[in-house]
Amino acid sequence: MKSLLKTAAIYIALGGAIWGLIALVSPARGEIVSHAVGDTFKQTIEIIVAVFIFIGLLQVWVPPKTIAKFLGKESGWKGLILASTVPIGIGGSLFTILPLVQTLLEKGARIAVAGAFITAWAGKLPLLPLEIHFLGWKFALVRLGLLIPSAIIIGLSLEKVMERRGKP
Amino acid sequence: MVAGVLLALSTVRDRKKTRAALIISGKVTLQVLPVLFFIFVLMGTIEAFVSKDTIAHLLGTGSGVPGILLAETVGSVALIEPAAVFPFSGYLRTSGASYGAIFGFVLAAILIGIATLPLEIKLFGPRFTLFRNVFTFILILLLALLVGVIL
Repeated sequence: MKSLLKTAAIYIALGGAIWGLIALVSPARGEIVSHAVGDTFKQTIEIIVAVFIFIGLLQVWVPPKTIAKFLGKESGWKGLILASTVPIGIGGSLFTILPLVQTLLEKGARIAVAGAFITAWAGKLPLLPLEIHFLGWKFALVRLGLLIPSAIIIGLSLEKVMERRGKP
Repeated sequence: MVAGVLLALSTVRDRKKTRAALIISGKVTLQVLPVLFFIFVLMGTIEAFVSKDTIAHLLGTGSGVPGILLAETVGSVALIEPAAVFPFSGYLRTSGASYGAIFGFVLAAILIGIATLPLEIKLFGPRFTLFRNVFTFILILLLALLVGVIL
């Protein structure tokens, strides 16, 4: 909690410092920055609040650990396909996802599943409202559609490369 | 709206869980909102100093593979919250960046991280880390070219 506040303060201070410096050196340019910050904030605050509530509910009702446990049990193509789709719904950053995937491997999941899991997690379904607002539903749809086969490709090729290790 | 309905539904089903969810939401807010503020300032700063023509020239439809590579590299190096990726991308889009370049930026920003390399090496070993990041980078490049054609 403390480190959270600290990081928050650092970002706000850094942003404020840049803003202040620009306004000081060139008031006209400071004005542009103010407009950009204000307008974007007004445009997005509603979506952002909704997304945050959604992330909280998702974490509690469908905890990532449960998903990982569920995926670790499946093997073969079924496991691979699940690993390429289910993680799309999980939030978090690489810092939280990588340890989760590592426990998956420890429990005996295939490397392909681990690779697919990390890639599919980039689907970022909890952020979909933001993506549609800023880039349009077409972009979001294409991105998600391409990501699922990508997860399988990355998973399988990673497994191939990793299995070659140790063999002559 | 939808979030409000879900929240009400969750409260009816289980009060304790809903409270836990709201605490998580609060933490996420505390974690992400300052980063968003910082990103918004950065967007304004770029707007104030870099002309739209420059962005369109560097990342626009005519920028091709170098444009995508640039977007991917920036995405890999940048230390941003996934939640901040989309507002920034939207800004790039209105400044004239192509969908292909934006696709490269978004996925590289989420999936490739200079900042998370040490953690990934510690957990999975250097070989896994190297190949995962390299494969991902190459695949994103190919897909971004495809996206440029589709959209």
